[in-house]
Amino acid sequence: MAHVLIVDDEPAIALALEFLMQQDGHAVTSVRTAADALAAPVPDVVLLDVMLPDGSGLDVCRALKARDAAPHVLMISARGRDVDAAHGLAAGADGYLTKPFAIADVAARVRALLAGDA
Amino acid sequence: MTPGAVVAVALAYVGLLFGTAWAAERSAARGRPWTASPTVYALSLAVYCTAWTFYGSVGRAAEAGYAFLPVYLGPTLAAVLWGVVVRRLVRVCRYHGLTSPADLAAARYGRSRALGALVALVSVAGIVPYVALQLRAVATTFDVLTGSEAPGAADATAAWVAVGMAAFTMLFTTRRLDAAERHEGMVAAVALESVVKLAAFLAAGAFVVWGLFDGPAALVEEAAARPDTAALLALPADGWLDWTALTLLSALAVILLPRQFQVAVVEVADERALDRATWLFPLYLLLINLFVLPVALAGRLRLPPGADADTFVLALPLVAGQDVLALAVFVGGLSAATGMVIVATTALASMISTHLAVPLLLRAPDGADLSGRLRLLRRAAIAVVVALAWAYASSLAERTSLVSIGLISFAAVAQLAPALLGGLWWSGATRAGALAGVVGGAAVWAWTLPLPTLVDAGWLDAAWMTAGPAGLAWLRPHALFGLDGMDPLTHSLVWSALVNVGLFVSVSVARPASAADLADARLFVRASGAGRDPQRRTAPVEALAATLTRFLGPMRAAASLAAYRRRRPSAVTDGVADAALVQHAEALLAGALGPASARVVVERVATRAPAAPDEVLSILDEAHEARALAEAHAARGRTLDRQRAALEAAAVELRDANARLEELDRLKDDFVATVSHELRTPLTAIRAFSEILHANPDLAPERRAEFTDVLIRESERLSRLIESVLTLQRPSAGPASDVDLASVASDAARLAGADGGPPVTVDAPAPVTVHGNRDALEQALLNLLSNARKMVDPAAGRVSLAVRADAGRAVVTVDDDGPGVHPDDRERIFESFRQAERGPRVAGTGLGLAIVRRIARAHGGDVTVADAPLGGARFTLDLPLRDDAA
Repeated sequence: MAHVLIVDDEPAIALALEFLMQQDGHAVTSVRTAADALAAPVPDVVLLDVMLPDGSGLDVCRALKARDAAPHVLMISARGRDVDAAHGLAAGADGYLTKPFAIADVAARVRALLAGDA
Repeated sequence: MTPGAVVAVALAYVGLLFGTAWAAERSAARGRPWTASPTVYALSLAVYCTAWTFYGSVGRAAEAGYAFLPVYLGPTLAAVLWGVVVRRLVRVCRYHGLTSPADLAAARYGRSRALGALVALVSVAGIVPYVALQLRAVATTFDVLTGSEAPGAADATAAWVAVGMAAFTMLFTTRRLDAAERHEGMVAAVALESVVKLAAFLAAGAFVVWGLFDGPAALVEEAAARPDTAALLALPADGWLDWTALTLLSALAVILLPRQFQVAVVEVADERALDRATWLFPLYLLLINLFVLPVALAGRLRLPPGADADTFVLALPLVAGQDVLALAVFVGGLSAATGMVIVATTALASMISTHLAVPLLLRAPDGADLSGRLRLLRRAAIAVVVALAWAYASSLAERTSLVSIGLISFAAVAQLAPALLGGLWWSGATRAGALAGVVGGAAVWAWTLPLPTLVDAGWLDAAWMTAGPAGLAWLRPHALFGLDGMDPLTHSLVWSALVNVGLFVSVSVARPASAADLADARLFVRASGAGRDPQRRTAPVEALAATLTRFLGPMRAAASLAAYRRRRPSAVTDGVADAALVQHAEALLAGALGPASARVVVERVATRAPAAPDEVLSILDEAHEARALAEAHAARGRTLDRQRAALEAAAVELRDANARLEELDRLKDDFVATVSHELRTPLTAIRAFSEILHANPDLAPERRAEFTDVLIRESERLSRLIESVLTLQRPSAGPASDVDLASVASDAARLAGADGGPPVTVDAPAPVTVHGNRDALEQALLNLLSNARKMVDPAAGRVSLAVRADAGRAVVTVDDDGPGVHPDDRERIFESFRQAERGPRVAGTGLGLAIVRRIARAHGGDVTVADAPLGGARFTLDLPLRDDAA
């Protein structure tokens, strides 16, 4: 069982991600802002929205990746452009998902990241 | 005559002036200002003729014959150069938002605060005695007219006159803050006063020549028969130096005296008016001087010896029993004095507040709205100037003649001439040179002219004048460096000019300007008076707007910015204002703060930008235009010239149109990107939960219900968004007809209140008809109401809606008692998908207010936000009334 942190200010999307992760047997923490994301205990995987009310998810990603025992970060954005993906990867993200996403895709990506650890 | 009657007449006259000012402001508000008339402009220049001219010239003529004339010859000569010198000043000042000589000095020499403050100080020191002269003239003539001889009566009268004039000036000029805006009311009143004082003086002169004598010939004959009056008729044999000095001095004064600068440069509504002033103003001076010598001679011949020559104009009709004429003369003198005091104190107050007080104000914490404090400051400055003048009038000026007080002022402002005028034609002039010149010249002036009046008043030992301070003979104020036996004024002028110009030129040459200062200087020396800001600064437009709001108040700031952006939509890219807009904002602020402070507050938000390719291009264009112009001049045919001009105009239009298209294209791209982002969010939720429900057929019923709820909610959100985007793109789609906003308002209030929550109070007593699309207008009101209802307390909040017709506009206001909108957010909230950065975040599509704005603009109006009387925000929707309903 892994610890997943969900960072998204859209309650409906957060709810969907929470359900998905719990269904896969993970412990889930869900927050809505960049500040709360940085204050939360360091998880194994972060599902991180790019546009947060109090800042950019890219900055959060950079800050998380700078920590000891950095988590895996999967960026999620509604701007489905290649240039955004490039930014996200430059900020150290492990992967990039575009809204609207297929739930099977999300679950598979998280599983793949965690399998890399084992 | 009883004091009561005289006061009543004076007050009635002041009432007439107010009426004129009021009517002039109305005409200006309708867009057709009287002050655009070249005749009004020329008449307003005649504010040059003060109580000094009205009473003092006769006094001077009664002492020294033609010696009163150079003071009017100078301006006549200056009028010839009006088209060159004043035109340059007008262009430079308008372009940079400058409103006083101090502004000009500060702006020309690298936004130097020191120089601005110095010029303001010299002006105040120089003009206070001059204002004192006016107070004294009105007080003295009042006492002569009412026959009050009580000792000390003049001081008391002067105090009342001072209070009255200060109040009068404040009412006239400080209602609006931005000094760069013209005071149409003041100018119209001053022009009227010019007519009144001229008429009064001509009437008095005609009465003296044809009433007391049998025409001019008889008067001259009688005067020639007496040795003392015969001497006044003789043309002066020597004294050419004094004449030249005085003529030059007054030529400078007619441009650089603060009040002249105000009417001649700041208040010009139309540059074409300058041409008529070239002949009309000298003609005015000729007329008002026509009877000076005859009245002086008559006074000497008919009034008892020892009568105050400065009051001859008034005393002659009074002694002859012509009370009505005497009263008219008094009103004429009052006109001359009030005109001067109003314009001079207005000009000084603006200099004091912008150059001496504003720098202190800028230390106030960021974000505070300072426009109210600035207005208060202007008023206080007016009170201070008049109070100083009164103090001067009552302590010093008792024994000094009107003319000699006035000349001290002339000599003071002349010290500004090398720095100000030199700086407009000589790009090598530097800040250090200007400072040195003005300081040196002003020091010599202070030593040689005002200081001796202190000795006269008994404040300093008389030995200073005869033996020099501490026995240093070369420092004697009237014989500096041993230059003895000259007229004190000429003596002062010779030395101060020598020191001033000498320092100005030598220091400028010895320490040449830096490249940056030189670039600044070229802006002023260039013939057009205008040019591209060499600093090339850019600034976030929101920060720029906040700065404007802080100093100009929210209404004017928003209106100015909006007007500029309508004129040049390409001025803002990605929320960043370009160099031209930054420069425009600085000019706006300079009107309220002076150029040095304006530069400081703009620098706080601006950053230097590298040369953009389009700027390089436009510099190339400029070079090309210059070459084309030169070629056109060389070419013979005028036809060719016209064709080229038409071609170039077409090219410019094309370029502008292209720029606008590119801007629109970019805006459209941005909008599409943002809309697609906003649409993806509900779509993501819908897809995710559809997939979850599909993959998990055996979910618990309550979980299933929860998820289907989300599906329904997000689908609704998606449709709302699409609906909004469509409205935004076609704000007034649908048929247009006459729409009664009052009935739209009550419908909208009913719809908005249908779901419970805070009720909406509607105040729409009468029908207000506009032309437009009813559904769109109802949508706009609904959006405003639902926005307001989101902001207030759901239980106790108040929202009120009012509809009025006001001055040809239909005005709808929506007030709430919520937290209000921070000034920094007042433009932002009308942009698509933006919310206020400060204050509560509320649910919504982020398009509501953008839609209101689009609908308002599609109907030829606009929507703005300000503070509401209820404590929250007031949204004002302003639309044109249906044509015939106005």
